[in-house]
Amino acid sequence: MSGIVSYGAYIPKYRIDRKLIYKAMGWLNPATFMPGEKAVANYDEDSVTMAVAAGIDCLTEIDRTDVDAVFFATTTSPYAERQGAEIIATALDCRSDIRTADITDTPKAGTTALLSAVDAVKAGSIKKAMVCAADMRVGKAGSAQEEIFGDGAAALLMGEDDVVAEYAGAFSVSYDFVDHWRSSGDRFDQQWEDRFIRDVGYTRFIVEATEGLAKACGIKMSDMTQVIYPCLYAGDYKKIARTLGLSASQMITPLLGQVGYAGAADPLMHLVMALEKATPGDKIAVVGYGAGADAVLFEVTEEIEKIKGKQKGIAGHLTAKRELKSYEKMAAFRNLLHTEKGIRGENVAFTAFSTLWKNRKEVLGLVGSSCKACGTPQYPVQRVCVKPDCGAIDEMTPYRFSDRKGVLFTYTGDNLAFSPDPPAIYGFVDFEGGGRFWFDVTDMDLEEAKVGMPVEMSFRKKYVDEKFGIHGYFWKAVPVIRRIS
Amino acid sequence: MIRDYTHELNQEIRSISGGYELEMEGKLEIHGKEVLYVVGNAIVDSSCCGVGGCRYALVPGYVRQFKTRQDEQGLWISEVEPIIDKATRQEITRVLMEKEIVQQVQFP
Amino acid sequence: MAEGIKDKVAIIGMGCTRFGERWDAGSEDLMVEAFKEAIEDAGIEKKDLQAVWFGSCMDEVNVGKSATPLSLALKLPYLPVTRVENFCATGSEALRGAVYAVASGAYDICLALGSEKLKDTGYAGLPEFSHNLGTKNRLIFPNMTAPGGFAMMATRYFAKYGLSPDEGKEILAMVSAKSHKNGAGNPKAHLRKEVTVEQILKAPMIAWPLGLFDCCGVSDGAAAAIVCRADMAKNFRPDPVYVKSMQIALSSGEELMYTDWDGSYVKSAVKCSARAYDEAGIKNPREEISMMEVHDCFSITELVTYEDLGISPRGKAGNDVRDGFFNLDGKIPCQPDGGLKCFGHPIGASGLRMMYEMYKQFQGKAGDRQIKDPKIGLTHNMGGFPAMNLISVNIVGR
Repeated sequence: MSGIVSYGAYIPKYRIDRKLIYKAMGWLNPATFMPGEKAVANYDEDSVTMAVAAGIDCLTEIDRTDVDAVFFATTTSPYAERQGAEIIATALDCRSDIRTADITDTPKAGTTALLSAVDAVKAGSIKKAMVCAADMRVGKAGSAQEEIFGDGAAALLMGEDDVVAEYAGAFSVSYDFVDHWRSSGDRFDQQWEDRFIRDVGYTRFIVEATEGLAKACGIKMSDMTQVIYPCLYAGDYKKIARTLGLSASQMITPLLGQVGYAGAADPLMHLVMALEKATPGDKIAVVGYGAGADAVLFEVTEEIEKIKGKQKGIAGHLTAKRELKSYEKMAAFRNLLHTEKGIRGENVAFTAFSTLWKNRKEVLGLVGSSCKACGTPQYPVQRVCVKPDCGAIDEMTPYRFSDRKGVLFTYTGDNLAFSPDPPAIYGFVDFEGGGRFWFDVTDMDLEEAKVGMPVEMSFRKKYVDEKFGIHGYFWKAVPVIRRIS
Repeated sequence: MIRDYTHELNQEIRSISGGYELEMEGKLEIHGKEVLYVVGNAIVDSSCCGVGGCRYALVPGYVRQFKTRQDEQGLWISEVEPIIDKATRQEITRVLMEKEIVQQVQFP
Repeated sequence: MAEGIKDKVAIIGMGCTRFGERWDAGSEDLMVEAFKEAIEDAGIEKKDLQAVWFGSCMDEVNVGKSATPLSLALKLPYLPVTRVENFCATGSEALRGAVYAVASGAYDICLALGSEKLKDTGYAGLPEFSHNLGTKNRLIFPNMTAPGGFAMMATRYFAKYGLSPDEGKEILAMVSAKSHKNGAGNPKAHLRKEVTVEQILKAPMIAWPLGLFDCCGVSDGAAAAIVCRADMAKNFRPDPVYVKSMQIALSSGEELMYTDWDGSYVKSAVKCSARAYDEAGIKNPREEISMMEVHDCFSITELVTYEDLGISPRGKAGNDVRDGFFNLDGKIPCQPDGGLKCFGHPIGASGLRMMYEMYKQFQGKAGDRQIKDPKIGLTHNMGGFPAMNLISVNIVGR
């Protein structure tokens, strides 16, 4: 059987109360009000970094060298040319003899990537395929999109062994239904009127795909334990359920009021949320919407009990929150405001791609070296061992630090270093098992910092060179996010 | 523990990398006690590593004796009790950041 | 068997410009100013010089690379001129080159000159670090500044010795207040203002826990030294100053990438000073050293240096500070000219400026700052950060 072997997710820590957005911009378009809060990616996050976070979560206790393919689904890739899936694969420390693909241009990409992965596994061409979906969609100031869009990611590992949710069938419809569009080079989504979208597309395609799925799998709608589909309009979300004849227990509570609508990641994040609470035998349908709809059916197996609680998933990330107290900060993070960075802040050193190539595992994968002579892990990769009594030359093996926890050996909050979210916090991390290096620290207030506090590593945007269009990535230390068991 | 606090407003105090000036004083009531605070502006324009500065607040402490004597330069001195309790500091920080729109609150 | 350089070389002339925001002077102006004073002080002519060491650190703003800027500014007659750079210890590195050249017997008279023009970046402060870390390091080093790099040591120091942040900051404030008082009496200093401990504590935070007065700034300036063989020195002047030791020690990488170092002191300073005392024949630094200029880029650096130099016991430098041990009228006056904190820190010149103060003190020319009858002077110059640095310790005497 083929299906889901593991799952993971990521929700940015910053959450903003939508009332703050409405307070700042509601005077412009008063009809935009939405309740709840939404997740806002930090200034040092994007779709790629969130996909890596979800991917690492999914690969907890799984050998990275088992991954044969990485599919990245998004509508907000930072690059139009430089494959996001490969940046993710390098960050996840995958092998190089793998297949990678970016699947993009519509929110349906999440489920499409899922289907491409499962089809490849079923066909036998790939044993284990990672699907990472992430989105960081930006709405114009004062728009309904600004209220509804939220940032997040999910990851699924598809395979044939120890499947926790078996793939049971799919049905897709595809229409060039232009409800939303964004031309290459444009920053902002544009949309047609909501009535048109709801009546002609949203309520019709999801129903068509889900009914098609039931028929293709030879089951009744009432056989499905849960039917997951994006909540784009609260009223019509229920209308779809009525049309399909779903009971209250078959519907999930969407993350709209806690995260927001996360584009390509949205259906997969909700799927992860359902799997976290699923019991063997559950039939879960997940529908992606955009340019039509994909509907995919999974049947949960006994194996699910073995992996529950291992990942942070949705449950763990939902509770790891940090209040974003100002709309202006959110607007600045998303470049809606032209902020003053000063000459110093604007003056980004050029990226030597030849250096990055040589050191890609080190920089993107946080892979250092461990000395075979004395067993001391060290970062960055060294040829001469750093241990004073050892000093062995060229006795190193690769040693990955990205999934190691550590403690904050020391730190500071720097008001002088340019930061989009001051103060710039950085410090030293002493890793479990050995090794020390200095890192930026993020997702934390200075008041929380303590010498000796536990930290873990998070893949982040280290800099953006706007002059040359370069997004630079590296790892930062963050407070540990707890798993909910 | 009681300490002296010298009232010195509208005087630029310069270091090699910048300077600050305390511009106004105020009092807050927290849990029935009177807290003295001062608001200042700093500019860091000659440091090694960038331009900085901020509008910030200092909280010398609970007022024990207000302006009881003067020093040789004629500056008034009060006696204050520094605030040590972390929760109280956090509460005062929250109130002052909102009330006086400052970026830092220090408890010297 | 190597002998070291004790008493092989003497300083016979020195010059130092006024440090500060020298909008009036370009790099060449500063070089000539320092050079003129040094030549006149030594009573020699340019043609007497045989080799030159030029210290300049930030070639991005200053004069660019190589030693040609100095040679052209001074119109040196096809002399051997070497440019050296070692972060903030560049000045001492220049002096070391000149001193070792004379000690080797290859030359009789050499010049060391350090010059830095930092006020031309346009954005206040040193040229942005990420540009001069190297192509790999800029991809992986944190977004840090010098205050932050040293603030991290302050955090560890306070934690190790059980000091609350308030207690720690008070000790640091006393260190700075002392230097300000000294600097106020120095006509060449960038900043000549006394401040009280209370005023220091009322300043805002720069990089927690370091505040405004814990940090040095940027200044323009130059300083120069003329050195010659010890047995020739008295031909030039009756009161030369003799070099007893010049040592440098570099970090090995342990502090940054290995977990032994506890973050609360500067390991290379301990090693460097031990070698320097050995070379100079000093057995008990607390008793034998008369005066010091240390690298007070940040007050925590100075505090920790008192211990790294073996003068204050570990963790107890605060007590010495409170007792006024390092005040101008204390047992070992430290920063008699105001230090980096007040005199200023033009990177290439600082090491030489420290030596200038020692030199003037030995000759009784320190005016209101005069220390009574000094016997041994020590300069301590540091480049880099506590986790990745180099230390220069230099001992001079009569």
